[in-house]
Amino acid sequence: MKKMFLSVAAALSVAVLVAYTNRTASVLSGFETGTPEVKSMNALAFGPEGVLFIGDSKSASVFAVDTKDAENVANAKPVDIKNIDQKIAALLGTEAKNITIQDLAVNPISKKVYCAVQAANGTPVLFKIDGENIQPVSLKDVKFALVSLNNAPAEDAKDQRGRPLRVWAISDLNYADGKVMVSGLSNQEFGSTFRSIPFPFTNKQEQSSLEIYHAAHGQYETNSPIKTFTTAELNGKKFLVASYTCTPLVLFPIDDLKPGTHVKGRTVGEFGAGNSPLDIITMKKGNDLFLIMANSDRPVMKIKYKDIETYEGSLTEPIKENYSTAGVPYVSFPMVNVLQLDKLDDTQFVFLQRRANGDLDIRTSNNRSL
Amino acid sequence: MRKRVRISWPSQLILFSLFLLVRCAGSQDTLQKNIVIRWKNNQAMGLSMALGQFEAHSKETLPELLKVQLANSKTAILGDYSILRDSVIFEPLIPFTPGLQYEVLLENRLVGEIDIPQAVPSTTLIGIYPSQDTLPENLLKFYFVFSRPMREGRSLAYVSLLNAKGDTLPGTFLNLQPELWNAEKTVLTLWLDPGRIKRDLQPNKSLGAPLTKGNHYTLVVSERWPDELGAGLTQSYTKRFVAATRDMTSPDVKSWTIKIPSKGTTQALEIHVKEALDYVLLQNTIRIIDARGKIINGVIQISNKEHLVDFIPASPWLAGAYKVLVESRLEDLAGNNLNRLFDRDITDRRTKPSQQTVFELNYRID
Repeated sequence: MKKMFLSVAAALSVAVLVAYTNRTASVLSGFETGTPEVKSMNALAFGPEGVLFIGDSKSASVFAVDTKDAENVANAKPVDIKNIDQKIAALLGTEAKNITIQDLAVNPISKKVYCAVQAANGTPVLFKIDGENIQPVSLKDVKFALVSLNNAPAEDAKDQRGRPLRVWAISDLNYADGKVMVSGLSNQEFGSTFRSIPFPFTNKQEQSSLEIYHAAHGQYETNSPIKTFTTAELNGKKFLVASYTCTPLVLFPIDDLKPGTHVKGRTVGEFGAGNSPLDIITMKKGNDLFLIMANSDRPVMKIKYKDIETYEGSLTEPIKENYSTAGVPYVSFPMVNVLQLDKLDDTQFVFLQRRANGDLDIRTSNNRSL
Repeated sequence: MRKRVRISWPSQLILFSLFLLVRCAGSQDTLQKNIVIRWKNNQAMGLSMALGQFEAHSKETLPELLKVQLANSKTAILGDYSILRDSVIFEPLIPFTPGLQYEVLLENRLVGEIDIPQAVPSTTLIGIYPSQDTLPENLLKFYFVFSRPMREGRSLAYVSLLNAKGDTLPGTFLNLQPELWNAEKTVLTLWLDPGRIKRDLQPNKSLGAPLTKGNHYTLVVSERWPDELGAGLTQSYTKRFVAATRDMTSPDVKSWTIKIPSKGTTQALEIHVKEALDYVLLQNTIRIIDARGKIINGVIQISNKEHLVDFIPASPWLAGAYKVLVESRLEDLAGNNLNRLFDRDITDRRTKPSQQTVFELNYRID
């Protein structure tokens, strides 16, 4: 009888175990509840299940926060708020000149726009925009996880008094295929740092740290910090599509991005001197995919994936004429001074734009413009 | 449980003067003392409002009935209300802004007006590095070191580079967001546009390098540059320099010389690095170990226009063998590090980068 009982118990245990492992584990299962010590919000990106990633340069960390904002909305209402900076400033009891909008990110499930704001004294504040409604998002007593971007502790250890610690200024943050990708710049050495961090975060050091080089015209090679990036599938292969602080558009096969490797990208476009890229997203119209890129000193550009796919070469010849461009063809939108971009839904994207009269507005564009 | 804020005597003095600034809209004298500003680190972090003035209302309902807003605004300021002893505390999400006026309303009736005084400039620029007045024409960065935390985000509005005629040179610095401040917001790293320095890249072809050999320049820092509290600097600053030959070689640790300290003293180990190197990296990339590999604790001081590194040990030197370890990420003024050049001609085999991560210098104390 006892033997039978044990067999039944064992069978039940196996059944429970099988049932448990077959169940899709939530990415939130390893999150703790508390108040994350977010010191700055330099970049935002959404992951699965309404998880918001916050890139915090000041604490050299990426926080993953459960927004509990996971109610599916298929088609988003366009967002159109004039003088968004003045409206946020009034909610914070100050003037627009005393705040900076650091980043915008759309929750792909709820289609709400999240907005990271920094006050003049450095205090970060997170807002959620739903239509005309601007609400603060409290980070008190939330479910969260975090990962440190610092190197092994020994390397940056403050073993000698007065040694200034390195800051890791996060230039962009994206989530794709179970990985949080972060590009950053150091306030000390000139170089490029790119990390690919598996999510959910683990205690293991699984981060890929890459050295990314820029080869100018087949002759000169320099370290190149990435300013903004996205991922794209081109000819059936996954690529990191990155833009440097000095504008070239560069492709890296994701499979080549392995820890500690010296990766050289393929330059497929140069989009003009005196310009810095600000943000890149992907939009779709019909069967065509496009990169949409905002720039500091050029209008918003549209680049067809197909043109990148068929552009086999790498730029090897220096551009002869001042301020001209080279490489993949692009189309300039009649949209200037766009500072931030994100995809709102399949047919719309939101953008933050400084208008000619000085106003800072959040607006929505639909894919008719594509 | 909220912490009670301890107020230092200068703050108390300010607080007292603020009593005088709190004007009341209703019955004169009583309300004047009833709303006070809570200060922390010279920032107005909240308001403390005596419960006595709201006697007609239960304290539980006050957070619903009270509203703090900017004068001339109807938007309620976001923040937390709480009760602390006999006061209701309002803490906005960000500190109140110096120079602005705020109103407190109860059931939309004005109960008090508060002026936050302008911050008085007290921050100074301690140094601009590199400190030499002759700099390579491919200079990569400047460091600005301040006495107090600064405001981030709009630094380029307050720094300009002038040519010998006094004309401002546009597009010299790279506009990076986020800006490269240290964690304390007291040191800013500003890059001269790397796209203009990198040979053959389009910005370099179109605009040329930011500096040209033989030309004289003046770096100007405006006194309007706001610190964390919104106050400007105590004065403006200038740094004059001349651009010299392009630096196309990596720093060579083998060329460095060492002045060895005496046994039993805490004399500095003097490391003469031959050429001016990066001010911040010099402080970060050099370590001293003993024969057993143990790190010697001490302080690094940079002087002689970034040519001299003094390492002052925490305890007296013992006799024995030591090593100076230098991380390869140490750069010269043009961004060439110990391993590779900032901008390498890959057709030139002599400049092939090395993979060495640490360079060593040996010395003995007898």
